Amino acid sequence: MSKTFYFTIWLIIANILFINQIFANADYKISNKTSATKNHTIQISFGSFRNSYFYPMTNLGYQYEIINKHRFRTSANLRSYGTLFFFTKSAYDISQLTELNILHKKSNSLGLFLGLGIDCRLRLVKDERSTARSGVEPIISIVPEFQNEHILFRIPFQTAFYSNGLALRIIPEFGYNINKVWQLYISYGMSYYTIYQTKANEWRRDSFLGVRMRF
Amino acid sequence: MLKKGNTKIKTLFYSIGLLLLCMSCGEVPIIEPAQEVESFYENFEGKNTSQFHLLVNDSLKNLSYPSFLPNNINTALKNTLNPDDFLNNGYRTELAMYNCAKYKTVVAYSFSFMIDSNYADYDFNLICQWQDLPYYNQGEAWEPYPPLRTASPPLALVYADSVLDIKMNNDPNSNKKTFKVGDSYKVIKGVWYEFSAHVYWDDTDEAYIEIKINGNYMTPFNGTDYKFYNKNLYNRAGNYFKFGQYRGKNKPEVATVVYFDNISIQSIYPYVSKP
Repeated sequence: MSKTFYFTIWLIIANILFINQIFANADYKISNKTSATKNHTIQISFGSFRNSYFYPMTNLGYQYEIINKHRFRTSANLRSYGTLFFFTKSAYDISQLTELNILHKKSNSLGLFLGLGIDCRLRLVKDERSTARSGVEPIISIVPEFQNEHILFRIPFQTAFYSNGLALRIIPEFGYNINKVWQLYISYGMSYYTIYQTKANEWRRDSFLGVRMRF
Repeated sequence: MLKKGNTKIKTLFYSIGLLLLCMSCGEVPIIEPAQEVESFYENFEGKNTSQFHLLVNDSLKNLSYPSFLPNNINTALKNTLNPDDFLNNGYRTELAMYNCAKYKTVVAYSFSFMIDSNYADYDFNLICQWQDLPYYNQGEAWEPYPPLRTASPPLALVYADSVLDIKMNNDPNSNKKTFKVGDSYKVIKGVWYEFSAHVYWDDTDEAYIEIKINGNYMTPFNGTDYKFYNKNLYNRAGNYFKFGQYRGKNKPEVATVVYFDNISIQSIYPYVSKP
């Protein structure tokens, strides 16, 4: 576990620093003409109604819009399993995603984000009945997004690549802006897992209710 | 300058993506169907329970191996539940076998049991059960906080007032929605019985159970055979098998004794889907 954990932390930090550095340089080059601003978002959410039962999970996320005008953004998320209080001894997912809006020149309210990232699963339970293993996987995402003064609607499509298969995820999300700072949102994630060789597959569903603070 | 900067960013962006794609090191977090189940047999002639995972307060007080019993059985396991045997959120003295009720496998379970002739009847007692597991691969564990999952097991053999019942549960969120399968079976204290169960484990209604006591089916006739079709896994992590005594949170008034012998778990064959 420790090897996976440290490897993931290193990857995430390296990825953020590397991409931030690139974009920061780009920001510098562009800034003479655009006077770009930086936005921060912190979000927490609670769930989840899994396939047929409730299992407590929490998400704690941070998003940083590197160049607001051009809509590059990077985010990190910590998911804790088996708790409504963020700390657990059983399992975490740590993910990091950097996204680029390819529609930024065409519309202020519509976006289509292409994203790349890393997903790390930490499974800490030592139980003879468990076959869970920790691991790190790359993620590719496409996110159609609509937002205006009052609402946000986005449908992230994600693909995670494993050593023996892949996962396809659809995570529709609806957010309501209470004011310029606070937003309430709900999301419903459907994941389809498949193993290449044996064709084994499974759908998983998770639901979350959360709040975002933008500053 | 702006155009040149953007091209560079995009090139690096896609390069990082390609690099990430080459780094997958984890396996898909789901359970493969029809994994191997190891066969198992224990007749307690060696007077030990080392093959089991013990869910007992004090094995010296709860478990013993009488060598002289009625009906010419040499050695058996004497399982005693005392009023103070509260363990893992319930009153229990159970012996567990792991990894013997896996997703999409067919397994035969059998054992002999005898309710002690001095057993005082009150409230229910689970003689054996197949308990669900957290879906470890999907991040679950036994100890969520706050503790929200306290469901009855998907399948159990329940003794109460000299009667045996098969009880199932379809609701992983409830311990009040169990339902009886087939007819009750009258049990005489101080007499040995042979229990056998033939189970296909699945999280859909293709799953079935076929259960007999002393060669008589407890599961109802369905027009073709005695298989009762109903899902018996809450998730694909599978179940695990426990036998002994379990009374939930109902504190026993007096010590109760149940004898067990010839515990057998046999893998039948990997499941083949219907054409």
